[in-house]
This record gives sequence, C-alpha cells and structure tokens, in this order.
Amino acid sequence: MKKKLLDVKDLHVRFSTSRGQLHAVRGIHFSIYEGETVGIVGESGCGKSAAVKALTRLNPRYTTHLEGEVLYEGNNLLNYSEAQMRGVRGKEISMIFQDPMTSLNPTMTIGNQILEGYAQHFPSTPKAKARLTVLEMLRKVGIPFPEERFNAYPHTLSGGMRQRVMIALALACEPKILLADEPTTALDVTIQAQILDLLKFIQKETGTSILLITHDMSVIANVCDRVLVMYAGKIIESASVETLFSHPQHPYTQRLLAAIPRLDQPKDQPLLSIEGAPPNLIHSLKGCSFCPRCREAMTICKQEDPPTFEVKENHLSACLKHDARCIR
Amino acid sequence: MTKNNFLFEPIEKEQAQNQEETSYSSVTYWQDVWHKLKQNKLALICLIILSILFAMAIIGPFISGYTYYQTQLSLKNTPPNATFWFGTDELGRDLFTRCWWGARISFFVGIAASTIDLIIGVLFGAIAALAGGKTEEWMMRFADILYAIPYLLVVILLMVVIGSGIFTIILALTITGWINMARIVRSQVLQIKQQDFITAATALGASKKRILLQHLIPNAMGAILVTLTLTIPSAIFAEAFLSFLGLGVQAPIASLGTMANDGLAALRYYPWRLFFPAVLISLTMLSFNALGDGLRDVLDPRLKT
Repeated sequence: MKKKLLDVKDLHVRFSTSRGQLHAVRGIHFSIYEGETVGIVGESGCGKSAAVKALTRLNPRYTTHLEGEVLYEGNNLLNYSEAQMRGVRGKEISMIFQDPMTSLNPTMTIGNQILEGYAQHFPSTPKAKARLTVLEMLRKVGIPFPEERFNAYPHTLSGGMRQRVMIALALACEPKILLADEPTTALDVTIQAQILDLLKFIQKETGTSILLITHDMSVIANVCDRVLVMYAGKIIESASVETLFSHPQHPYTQRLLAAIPRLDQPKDQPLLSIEGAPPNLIHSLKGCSFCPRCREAMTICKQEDPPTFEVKENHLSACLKHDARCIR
Repeated sequence: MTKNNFLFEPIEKEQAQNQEETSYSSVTYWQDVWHKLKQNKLALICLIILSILFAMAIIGPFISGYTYYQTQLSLKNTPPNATFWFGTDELGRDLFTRCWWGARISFFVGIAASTIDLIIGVLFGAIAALAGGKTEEWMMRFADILYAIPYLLVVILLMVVIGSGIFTIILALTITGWINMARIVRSQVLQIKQQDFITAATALGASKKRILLQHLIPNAMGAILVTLTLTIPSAIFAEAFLSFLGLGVQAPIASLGTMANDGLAALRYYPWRLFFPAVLISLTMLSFNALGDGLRDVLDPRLKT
C-alpha cells in the first residue's frame, strides 16, 4: 500500500465579495498518495483553482475563509503559521501555473530565479553547488544550453520554454507534491504534449505526486492515474482513469465525456454540450447542484443534497440514483 | 544532370543538430534602456549638460584660484573679465568660484533630499501596498495628514526651532517630500502584486521581505527612477527658493538661491550678479526635467511597443 501524503477532509473555501459570501468549495474530501497523478477536472468556476490554492493557502488573505482539514503527513496545514507555511511551500508542496508568460519575474534572469527559490529552502548550500543543481534542473526539464540560458531573461524565451523553466523552478527543491494549475492551457497543442511528457518523465525520475487541474479530458486521459470530477464546489465523482472513461456513473461526468468532439464524427452533426450554466455559488443551494441541468433528475434531487455513494471499490459518485430507494 | 546530385542527398544528422545552436546573447533590461535613451537626442544632451554641471560643481571652485569667502573690496562689482570670468559681487568675491560652490550646495541638497525621499518613500509605499488591509489604510492616511500640512509653515517652524542651514533645509524638504514617492510606489506595487509571478514566488516559499526586495521593487524601478529624476530638480529648486527668501544657507556659504537673491537688488547696475546663478539654476532644472521626461518614455511599460 502506498503512503498517503495529503489528506483533505471537508475543505470549504468561502470568498467575501461585495455581493455576499461566495461559497466556492463546498466540503471536499480527497487524498493524494505517493507517486500518483491525480487529475481534477471541471468547467470554469467550479472551484478547482480555489480548492488547490487552498492547499497551500495561496488564496487572497483578507477575503478568503478556509475551513476543514488539509493533513500533510499528519499535520493540518490550515493551522500552520505563515512562517511554517513558507517552509512547506516550494519544498514540500510546490506549484506551477497556467500562464508561463506572466509567472516569471521579468527583471530577474531565469537562473537567478531558480537559484533564489533553492537558496530559500537550503540556505547553507554553497552558491557554486546550488548553481550546479540549478543547471542540472534546467537540463532535466529539457532547456538546451543551460549554461547560457542561466543568464537569460524570461522575455527572451518562448512560452513552452518558460513553462519548462517554471517546472524547473517548482521542482528545484524536490517537493513531494506538485500542484499544476492548468499547466498546458496557455500553450499550443504540440507544446502541450511536450510539457505533459515532461511531467510524466519528471514523475518517473523523482517520484513526485502531481495534482493536475485541467478542463481538458484528453490531458486527464494522457497523464492521470485517478480523476476527481468537480461541479459547483463539490467532488461529484472520483475514480481511476480507466473506470471513469469506461464506466462514468454521475450524469454530469457522462455528459462531459459525451461532449468531447470526435474526429470520426460527421461534420453536419452539431457538437454536444450541456445546456444551462453552473449555479451561482453566492446563493446557498438546495438539493443537487446539477439538478437543473440533469436529464435524469428526480423529485428528490430538488430537495436532498446527494451524499457520496461508493459505487464500486475506489469509485465514488454523488448522485441520488445510486440510493437504495431508487428503483432504476 | 548528375552534376548537382550531391545537393539532393539527405542531410547529415549532425549538421541538422548544429543548426539549432544559434548565437545567443541576452540583453539586460538596463542595456535596453540605455539603448533606447540614446535615441532620444534631447535627453542625451541633458545628460551631458548635467554631467558637465556636476563635474564643474566638484572641480569648479578650485579653477580660478580664489575662494568663495575671499573679499577684495577694491574690486567689488567688477563685470566679467579675463580674471573674474563671472565678475565679482558687492564684496569683491569671485562669482565664478561662488557659482560653482553654490551649485555644489544645490546639488548636495537636491541629491541628499531625494535620496532620503527615495529610501523612505519606496519602503513606506511598498510595505503599505504589500501589507494591505488596515495597515495600508493607516499608513496612507498618516501620509495624507502629513501632506496636508502647509510646506512653508513646516520649513519656517524648523528654521525657528533648529536654526537655518543645509541640514535644516534637507530635513524640511524630506519631512513631506517622501509622500509623493510613497504614493507612486504604492500604486505601482498594488498593480504588480496582482501579477502571477508574485503568486508563483509565494507558492514556492518566498518570504514577504524577499518578495518586496527581489520582485516588487525591481519591477517598480521604472516609475521610481522617473519620479526620482523629477524629485531632484524640485528639491534643488526648493532649496534655491528658500535661500532666495532668506531661509536657506547662511553667509559666507553661497547657494545659487542666495546669490540670485543678492543679485536681484543690484539688477539695474550689475546684472551679471543675477544672470549667472539664474542660468545655472535654469540649466539644472531644465536638464533634470527633460531627462526625467526621456526616461519616462523609455521606462513606462504602457508606452512600450
């Protein structure tokens, strides 16, 4: 049995906005085990980013309210002081971002940026040795001529190269978990494939666990071991990749998978979509959040918040159709 | 037909790889700024004028062989000639020496005051913006209150309490002078701290101090520099203005302002006594302002193409 690295229990994220409190993440449970890749998928605004940022408490300080437990090796990160959190960020749990164009400081050379992050966590390492580590890291993420690129400024690099630098930056201190917030969304498709291959390669090399946010099902199929499907701030289905793609249980997941355009689909056939829009999370919800858009909705769906059912081993789905009272 | 056949042979693998090896040199930000500033002729000329003025402020007082306090009553109010290049004043002191001595005082006051403004303003503004929330609110309201006190009143009060002199002037200029810098830096930092690389730095474990010094301030450097080049001339002018009102440095030390004040009374008969200090003040002010303007064109990211 693999070691459990991160255990999230009943995590809530609330934002104070001018129109009231926005309940972005409404109680999610999940775990990350050593060396696995977990994907979080869902449409825009379903709370993916808010949930993942909450793991290392990166949400805006004054307007965010966190509740629940984020257990990292048995300690609740939500109770950590800001100074303790700094020791976790980058060294234990690291993160890469969506837009490599803006995630690097334009006034620092890429080498110094990686060096800086490294020196932060290993202040006693001599500079020459730290520099070698950085060069090794740049080589590992596939930057050609790392010696010369060490002194390059971010604006002289392409988007794909910058994302590689970001990955080097995030992995320089050998974190146990890498949070990747849509790392390929801003890149074009060929570069996407390269970056995903790089992530897979890095994981094989270092054994880092990866939590990957995306709204691209093909990315999930490509790299993940396990998938969490989020909708309106909740995890509505979780399963291994094979199971999820072959036997999706929740109506939302089923519709999401059906919406993937196929190459062999006739041209005149319209693309499938899920009608309607996700609920506004400023209002409190009654019943199942997907109910208004669901084709299989039942009367009970409007009244009862669906609990999570274990459909099979390691396959959870939060839909009332799995309830024993349901006769279908 | 067979002549050029070798051209159509498949390329060697090694050669193909070599093509990837492009020559690679990185231009730093400041090299880029310098390159663009050179295109701006006016700013460049102003930079040269400033360098000359600056050099003369250092070596000028020693050229003529007279000191700024040496009086020769028999030679009072001599018009400019071969011995006294700028003429003499009503006590027969060499105006050339006195002018450059005055320029030295003016530069010293200007640079000292704006350096203090720079340090206090940048740290205050950046810390306020980074802290956010209540802290920011209190810090900025404190700055507003200071800003509301009439500046001349502060100066005169200080003169009364600690007496006039160079350091009183510097203190008087900095007591309220840093607020402008603090406001500009705050507004810049508020923008920069929203950017992804700040979140990224936080996500990788950077401390607030490091974010402030390594990420926020370097990125606000453009605005800081432009403000600085506009603060120096306003400090120089404020010094000249205060000295002109008689609130500045005391005789026999000269500053450009006191000399202009002395010269004003004798404008009818000995116009050179006002002319030379006034020209130096104007040249300094003009050069700094034009240079600041040129720098703004180069450094403002919104004007970048």
